[in-house]
Amino acid sequence: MTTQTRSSALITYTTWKALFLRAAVNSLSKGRVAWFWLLAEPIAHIVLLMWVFTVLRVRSIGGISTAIWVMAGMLAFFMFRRTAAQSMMGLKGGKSLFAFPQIRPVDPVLVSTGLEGFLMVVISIVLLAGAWLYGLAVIPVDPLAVIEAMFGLWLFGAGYGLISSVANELAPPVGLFLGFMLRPLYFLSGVIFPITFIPYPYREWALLNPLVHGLEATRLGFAPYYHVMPEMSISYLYGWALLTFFFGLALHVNYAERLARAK
Amino acid sequence: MITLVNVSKRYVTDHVPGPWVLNNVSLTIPPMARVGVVGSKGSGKTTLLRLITGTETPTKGKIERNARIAMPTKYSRSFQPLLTGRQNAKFICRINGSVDDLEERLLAIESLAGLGEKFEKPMNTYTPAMKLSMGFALSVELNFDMYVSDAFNFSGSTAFKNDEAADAAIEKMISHSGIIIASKNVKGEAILKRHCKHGIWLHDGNAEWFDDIDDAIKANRNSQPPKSVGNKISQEVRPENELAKKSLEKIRILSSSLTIVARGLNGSPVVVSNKESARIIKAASHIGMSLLTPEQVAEQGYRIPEGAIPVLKKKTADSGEEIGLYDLEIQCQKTELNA
Repeated sequence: MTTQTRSSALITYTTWKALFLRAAVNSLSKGRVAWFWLLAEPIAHIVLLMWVFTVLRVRSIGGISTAIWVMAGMLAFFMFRRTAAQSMMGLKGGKSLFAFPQIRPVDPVLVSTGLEGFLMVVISIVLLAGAWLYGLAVIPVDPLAVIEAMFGLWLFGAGYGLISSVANELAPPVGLFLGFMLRPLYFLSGVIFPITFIPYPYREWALLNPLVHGLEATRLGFAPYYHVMPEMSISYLYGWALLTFFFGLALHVNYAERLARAK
Repeated sequence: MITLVNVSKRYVTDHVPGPWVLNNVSLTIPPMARVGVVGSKGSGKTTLLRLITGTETPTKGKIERNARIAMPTKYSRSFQPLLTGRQNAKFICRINGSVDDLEERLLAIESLAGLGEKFEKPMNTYTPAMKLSMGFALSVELNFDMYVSDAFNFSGSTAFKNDEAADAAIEKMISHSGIIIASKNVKGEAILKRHCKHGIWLHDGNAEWFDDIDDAIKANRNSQPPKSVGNKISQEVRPENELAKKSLEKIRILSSSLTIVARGLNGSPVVVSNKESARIIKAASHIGMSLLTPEQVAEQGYRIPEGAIPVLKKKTADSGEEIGLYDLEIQCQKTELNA
């Protein structure tokens, strides 16, 4: 009798790998040209916004060219939103997988955060390379700062997704609210207009949003002479990111069995 | 070897704990064992199997698994419809820890499933029988130590021409491993008898181990009240006069014909006994469904096997063409028509 049981770490690793490859193939083969839409969505947002700024004759924002300001902000924001939006659906798509005892409910969610993060890195590189060919100065002066900010945004997106995925199953109204919140965040995070435009008492409120700090930090990484808002704090973003991420993980551990059985 | 130590399980519904499905169960299932699980409806057969595979965790107690366990019939439900057969097979091989031998395994699975070009097509183009063949090929080729299943039912799959072929396939699958099967009905019991040696009888939250499967089935049968349609009504009311008896009989026939027709519409095969046939067949024909009596089944050249699961015959409404023979093929044995 050759009974060979695998270690927990190995099982988790092979499970994540298998789920990752499956999710990647699946998301790229959904439609006829799924890979095209991956790129087209951020491009459409960026081009539209740049067109608006061109019409308004805004050449620079905060001391850097509008194009850089828009691209850096938009890519950073998408890093958060795509991660959050896709991972909150991770549980729904993974229902049939819980028949395999190796797969815990948290696995498909974590894997989709990883996949979205990976896709966003690829998308960012492709778009920045395209912009570079147009002669825009899109090469980050401080790449480590950009990576730091983007990783913080990804982590916050993952935490947001982990919490919402549990909420979607066990408290649908809360899940609905969290999903809905992703829309106004687009306007409230300094993606399409600088937070510094907001007059004094309300600006304090806008600064409570950790995304604002992440986006500003990303722009600062692209151009160190950017007039960043003085209150910008990357640790504030990381505080939120770690808090939501571990709270989300705790929820998943606590409700693992109910999540696996929920219809 | 799978060991259950003082395992109890109950489900919590809407914050209220339900009754104990399993209560303080201790079992040891030796390696390579062939075990059949019997018990009445709701006695915890599925719960026990899910605990053994690790899909559920026990409320109390401990389960030790020193074997690679698979629940192969679950595979056909977890296929991702947009991916091809090959991609799905790859995924399942990967989560079961296949890395270096992946290509080898895939080749073996491809040839055993016998799907030809379909293996490269998205699985939403597969018939249920093709999915079953895929599930079967995967379970054989992944070489588990113990197979666990609610009900092994491969009849109707394209891979197997008849019950004997299906049996042979199951035997091949478990030739180097153990098996735990639960039976749902009489047909399931026949399968248990063919493939299992030992038995577990579940009743009132307890699990009893029998060295011989026949004893377990007997114990389970003896504990159950005899079945008859509409027995609820006749048990509750005992009419004294003839008139009440007659009207009660009417209600009984009506309700039983309704359940039979409803069952047929759900897709489960139905046959009607002689006694109620006229009424029920008439009721069914109103909604465009035709039923058979055992005699009519025999006229078609089929024999209802022992412990009969009856037969449904449907008609397509438009052309009037009969399509019921498919159901006959998988439910009944073909017999030579004697002139």
